Amino acid sequence: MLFSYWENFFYYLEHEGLMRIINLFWYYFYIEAPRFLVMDLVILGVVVFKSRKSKLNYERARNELLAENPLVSVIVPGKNEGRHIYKLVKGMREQTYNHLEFIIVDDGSDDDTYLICRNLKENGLISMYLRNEERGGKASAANLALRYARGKYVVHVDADTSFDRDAIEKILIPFYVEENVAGVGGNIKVRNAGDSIATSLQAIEYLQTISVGRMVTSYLGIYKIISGAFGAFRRDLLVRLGGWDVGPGLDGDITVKLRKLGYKIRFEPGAVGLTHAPSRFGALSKQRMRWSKSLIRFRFRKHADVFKPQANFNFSNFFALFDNIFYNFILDILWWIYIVNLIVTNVEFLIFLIPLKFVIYGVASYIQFITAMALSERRNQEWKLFVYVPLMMIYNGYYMRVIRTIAYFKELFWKSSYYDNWNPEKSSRKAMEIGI
Amino acid sequence: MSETSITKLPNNYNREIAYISQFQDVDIRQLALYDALVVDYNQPEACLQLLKQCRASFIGTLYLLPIFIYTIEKEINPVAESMSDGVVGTLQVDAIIGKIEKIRSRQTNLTAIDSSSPDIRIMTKVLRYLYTRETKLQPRVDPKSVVGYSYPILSEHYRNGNMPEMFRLMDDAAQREYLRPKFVDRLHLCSNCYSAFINFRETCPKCESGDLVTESLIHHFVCAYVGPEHDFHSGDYMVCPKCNRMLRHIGVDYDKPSMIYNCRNCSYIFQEPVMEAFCFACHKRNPVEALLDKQIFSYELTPIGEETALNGFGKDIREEFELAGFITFTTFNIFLKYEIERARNTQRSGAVGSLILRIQDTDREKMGAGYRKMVTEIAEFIKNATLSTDILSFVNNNTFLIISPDNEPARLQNLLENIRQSVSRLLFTSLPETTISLSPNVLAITGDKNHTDMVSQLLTT
Repeated sequence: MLFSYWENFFYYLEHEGLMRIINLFWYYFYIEAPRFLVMDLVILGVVVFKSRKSKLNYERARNELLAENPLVSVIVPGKNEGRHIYKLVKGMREQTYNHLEFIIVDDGSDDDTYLICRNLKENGLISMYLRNEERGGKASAANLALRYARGKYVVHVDADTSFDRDAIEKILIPFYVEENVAGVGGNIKVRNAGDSIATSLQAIEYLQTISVGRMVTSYLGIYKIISGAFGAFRRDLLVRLGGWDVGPGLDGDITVKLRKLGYKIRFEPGAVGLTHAPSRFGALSKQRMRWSKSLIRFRFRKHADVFKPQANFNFSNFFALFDNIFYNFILDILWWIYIVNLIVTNVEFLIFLIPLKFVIYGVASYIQFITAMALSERRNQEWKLFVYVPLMMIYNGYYMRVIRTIAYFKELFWKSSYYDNWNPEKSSRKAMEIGI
Repeated sequence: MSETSITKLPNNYNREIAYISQFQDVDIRQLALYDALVVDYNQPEACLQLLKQCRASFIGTLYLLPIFIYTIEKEINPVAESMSDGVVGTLQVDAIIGKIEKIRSRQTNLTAIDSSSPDIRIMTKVLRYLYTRETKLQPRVDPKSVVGYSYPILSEHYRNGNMPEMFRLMDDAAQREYLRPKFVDRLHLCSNCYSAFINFRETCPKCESGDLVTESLIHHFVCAYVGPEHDFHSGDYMVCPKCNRMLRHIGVDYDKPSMIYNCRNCSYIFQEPVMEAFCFACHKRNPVEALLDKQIFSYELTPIGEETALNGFGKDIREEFELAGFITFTTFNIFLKYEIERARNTQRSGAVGSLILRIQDTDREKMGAGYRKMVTEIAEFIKNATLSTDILSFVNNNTFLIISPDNEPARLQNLLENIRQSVSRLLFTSLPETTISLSPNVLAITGDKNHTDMVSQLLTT
């Protein structure tokens, strides 16, 4: 029985021919592979090649940073994050760059965060602890920290993120490598990859989309989201913008706003922060639903002006957002058409097509994984994830796509991000009123 | 005694009742001869002083003397009133004779009590005063008292900053059930001097300055800008500095999630100022949590107290610890007096020293009976460490006194310092959580000294 299946499978392959197969999987071979496999490999090749040349420049920038030794404000806005903050602050004391001030903003916590932070403050481990009795949302908490920050640079971190010893130093260097850098994104990886299948898959996803993906977009000048978990900014520019706007998706929003000012945004793969990923698919779905809604809310609505020919028109901003919208939103809809068409027109061959698809995506995923491992500074720990790589087709190809589609529809037709309790209702209501 | 300052009030009750309107030449010892006193309130301060002198006396016929204030004014110093047996608007004896007779008759029931202990003498006074008056010991608000309250018969003995002793004595009396306490007020006193004259102020956690400016933080909902109120001020309006929108309605456009403090001295920004309690009396800057939490009670005489007022303290009731080998305070005073005289005659000098056991009231309360055990152990240690010719005494339940005849003050100082160190080590090992310290003090015994001054110096240092 099994033997006859494989006999038929190979007969099918032989009979159909390579071009027919490629055409059958046009979506992957013509759209996804060129962008996420070929282009990534080419750009990474260029980056690696050039990195030898830019090493001298990097050393110069590092020396310049250490000579200037500017004050850096590390701001940590959050609610009920007390248990993480202790670890974070302890970890931060190990940083190689230590001219830091820590500003913790407690956005209406109702647990023991207050006691923990007060204790840290009394022991001189944090510079400033500001507490809002009334919750105002993440943006307002970050803005309060910004209001009292004194550093030349502001490093925004999430309380549940921990950092390599040289992470702060490395995230600052790009400001000195070239001029007009407004913000630098850190390299976020998953700390709890071993917790569950969900976290293992997210760990692989982060390696592909952040560690590798952002290196490519940064090189191309179309890097458009500095993660809230770990990002550095020039304080003067943040102040000029008035800080963060009401979220969700405020990290992507501030990045676009800085780009619109005409400044560069860079990604620093060497500045590594480890974050705590949701270990259950339920929580993960909720998180991704929120992230995806922000694509519609901010890219489509708020920053739609980047697509219009106007005085401030800028090609890199256009492509940055176009890349985002095209590959996430437009192709998402196209994929549904493709998959329905594939099933309807090849229903008798599905039994062969499904394993074939697994093989194609599996090979591509392994190429991406091997690339990420080649670039990773902690590949000794991460290579174990290779057993989960085959599942990435289901994770990326189906699970994430379904979540994204639901989120896009909810946001497009019902503006559901305004009803998300991630933000306090008072802020969302006002934001909706004026359409931001 | 001037003939003009005291007049006898004529009466048909065969009572010698004196009326005083001029106070300057009054010798209070003479007043003990009268059955009662009526003092004119025409010189309020002098009148008050006379009352205080009478009530502060240890002579029974004087401190128990029925004293009435004569005035036609309505306003009268409450402290003076509390020390008197009543305020009258007439000099007619009929109005006061009932009370005089009652006090006098109860006074006759009292038997003589002989004690050299200050604690016993004061407690006897209190109990007898309450017994003869059939009243309770009611504290009065008294701005001139260091703790803000004074007791009619009691407070005059504790004017020299030894309030802890007064509280201890009264707690002791309540614990031994001579008196039944009833809550009147809760005080927060300076941990250094027991003063209630305290300024509570907010200070900068960094530089301790009190020069602070407070402002509300404003959160503008629509753009998520958060900043101090002055960021938003624009003439008569409030305008967001980020998005230029006008803030019209709290709760709709904006809210005030918290307050922020700005120190004008060091520019430090913070939300939690340090509360400090500055003592006007000794200038100590107390952390609020270090203030002494004391309760003020009114005290009612219990049957045990009444019995004690009549017949004195039973043999099993001792207000002072008896320590073997330690002489009483009175005897100690006599010895010291002789030592001074000896120094004067022989031109030789000796030394006298004290070792005061300092312990927080709260800790002492916590220790309970353990305190007595600890004192006994320390006493034993001191006895072994000193010479057999040294004279030892223990007073106020916390002070060891030592006369070291023919000894150099420096040597006694060394000896006390060694004792202090050894005892401190011992205490630290056995009672690590309590804050107990010993402070030694030594004076040279020379012919030109006065023993009372020396003792008070040793006790208060």
